[in-house]
Amino acid sequence: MATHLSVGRINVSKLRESYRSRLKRCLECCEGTKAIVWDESLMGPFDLIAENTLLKDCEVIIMWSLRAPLPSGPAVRNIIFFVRPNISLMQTIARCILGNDTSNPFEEVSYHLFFVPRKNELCIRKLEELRALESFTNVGDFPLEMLPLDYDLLSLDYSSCFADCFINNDYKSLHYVAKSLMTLQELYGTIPNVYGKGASAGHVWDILKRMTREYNISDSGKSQIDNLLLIDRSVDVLSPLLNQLTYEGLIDEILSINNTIVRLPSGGDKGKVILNSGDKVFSDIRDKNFHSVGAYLSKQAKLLTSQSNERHEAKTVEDMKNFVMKLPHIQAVKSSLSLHTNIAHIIHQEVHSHDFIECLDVQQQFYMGSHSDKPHEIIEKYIAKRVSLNKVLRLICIQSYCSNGLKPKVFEQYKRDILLAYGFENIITLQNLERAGLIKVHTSNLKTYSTLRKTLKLTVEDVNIQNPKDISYTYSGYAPLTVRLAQFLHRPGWRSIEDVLSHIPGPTIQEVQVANNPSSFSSSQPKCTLVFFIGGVTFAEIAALRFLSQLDDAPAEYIVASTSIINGDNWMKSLCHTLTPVPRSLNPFD
Amino acid sequence: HLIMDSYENETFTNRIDNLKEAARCFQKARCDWLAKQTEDQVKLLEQQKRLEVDFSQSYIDLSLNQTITKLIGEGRFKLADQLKKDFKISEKSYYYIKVEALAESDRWSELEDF
Repeated sequence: MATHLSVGRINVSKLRESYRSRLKRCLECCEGTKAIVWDESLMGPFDLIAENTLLKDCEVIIMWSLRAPLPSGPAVRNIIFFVRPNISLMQTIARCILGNDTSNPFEEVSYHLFFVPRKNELCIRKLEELRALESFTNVGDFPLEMLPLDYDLLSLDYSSCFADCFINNDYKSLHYVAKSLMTLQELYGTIPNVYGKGASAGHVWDILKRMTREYNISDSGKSQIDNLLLIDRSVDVLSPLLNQLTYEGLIDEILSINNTIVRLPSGGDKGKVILNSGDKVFSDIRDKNFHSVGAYLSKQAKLLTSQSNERHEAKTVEDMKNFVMKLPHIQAVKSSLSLHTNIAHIIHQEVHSHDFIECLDVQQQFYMGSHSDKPHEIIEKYIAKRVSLNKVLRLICIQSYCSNGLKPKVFEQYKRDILLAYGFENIITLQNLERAGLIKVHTSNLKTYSTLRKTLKLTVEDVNIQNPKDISYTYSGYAPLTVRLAQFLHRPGWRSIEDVLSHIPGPTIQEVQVANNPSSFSSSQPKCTLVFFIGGVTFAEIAALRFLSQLDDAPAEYIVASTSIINGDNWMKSLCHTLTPVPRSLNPFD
Repeated sequence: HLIMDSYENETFTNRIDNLKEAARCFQKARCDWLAKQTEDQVKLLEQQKRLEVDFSQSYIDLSLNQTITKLIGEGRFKLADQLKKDFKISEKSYYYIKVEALAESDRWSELEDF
């Protein structure tokens, strides 16, 4: 079922198993038949840990998504709600159970409520206020924190983390990050070395230290993870703003991937596709630059044809038997190849469109360091033509970052043009971006970006896309700063770039939690490093880290954890706040 | 900043009042730029109101560019030009808006003259 999770450096299915047994225990607490009511945003996450048969085994006979009133269905003994601690859902829950009492099709039903990952005071108080709290036999937590997305990839599915920290000054998410690290350490041992960069990294490290002191967990022996690297998204805002050019990155930007699931535009229910390393073809191409995906697919197709032709050459019974043995494999590759040829076709059309190429070209000009005191002509054109606001904002943020802030005049003109073209209701969005430091006025003479670019070799002129030698292939010429930091950590070490690190805002962390147990692994084996992105990670960055892990003389293998998977669009959306006017009253005298 | 409540008001006059209040607060807080933008929004809403009365079409809640596009689409070029002047839109931006609007509304003869 989830065999792809256990092939990596740490066995991620162990984490999945722990959630599964917890879910079973949780369901067994409620005796008899059950109905589950899901907060829709939790359906994807729970799909990753429990399939329908597990739920059936626990006597779950029906499931609904949370909507009031509950639809009528078979009589059950228990109705169990799984929800995010989201205050706006409480009203719906209350209406579900209070509405049920009047037209009671469920006679002696008991209600249970589980908050994922944890309840909060506000929600409880709201339920109390709505007189719904007393109807529950059971109100508890289901601490599903880290979703096992793949053998080397974990996500908290907490997409508002960056906006919460940098716009709303709400640091709850950092607590979740620390909590999830505690869970990981319980399963895989205390991580000896901790490194980090950025303000949130500092906060998480502080919370983690406090938790370790308070809980005093028993050390489960050998630590399977050698290093922890905490990276605050604000350390590198450029990578998510740029267009990712790896296969998986492009799928996410164009079709959007949610908890490993992508929905293809044609095909309705059939269009739902799971993307993980269990699919051999996908695992070969997901991290490649898109421009080398076509060649791979056609080579595989040829190979497949020659393999299927072997049956004509089969002379003996033995030959035939061998061929039949291979058949399921051939079938699987065949359907996977046809699926990815379809997806690649959709992406091909997009990336060869005039708009995409033009936009990419502007991005390249900026990160290659071309400066101008004027607003960029293409951005001006986009604003006047009112192309998607996200696209415009991404470009402006890139310009601001790469030129260490915009000239005051340019800054104000962009903002005014946006308000006039897209409407005054975007004023809060602009304020948010300013507050998060994504657009700013050039103030000092510091040339942070050019220093970083030079010392960390962020841009590379001629990239070998077919046969990459460097992580910059992921953006066809730009190497994500976050991944460079991970790379330098192991070779030649952060000491050599102390000067650069001081240019990046936020504290630098280099600490030891416990003395490294030298017997845990032979020293010839690469170290295992967990990179935790606080505020989101892109698929291109993940691809770059996987590329580093797979190098012949790799000093480290990486596991990636993140508060969520982001791309330029969904990240920008999480920072935007557009006001929508309430429909006006029809009062003629108004 | 909470004064952006304006958008939650159902009545036009309340909305304008909220925005005016917001502009005053920005002024006090020395956020000149924000104050100016908010005042411009009030100005825009008032002009749109006048247009609604004159032509019994709905303009309110369109952005300035959208308003100009709509006016051009309806052939009210003078009013469009007037808005351009009032809000000091650059020649270049106005050019884009106008070409787009003329093309969208199939006014090919005007597009050729332009």
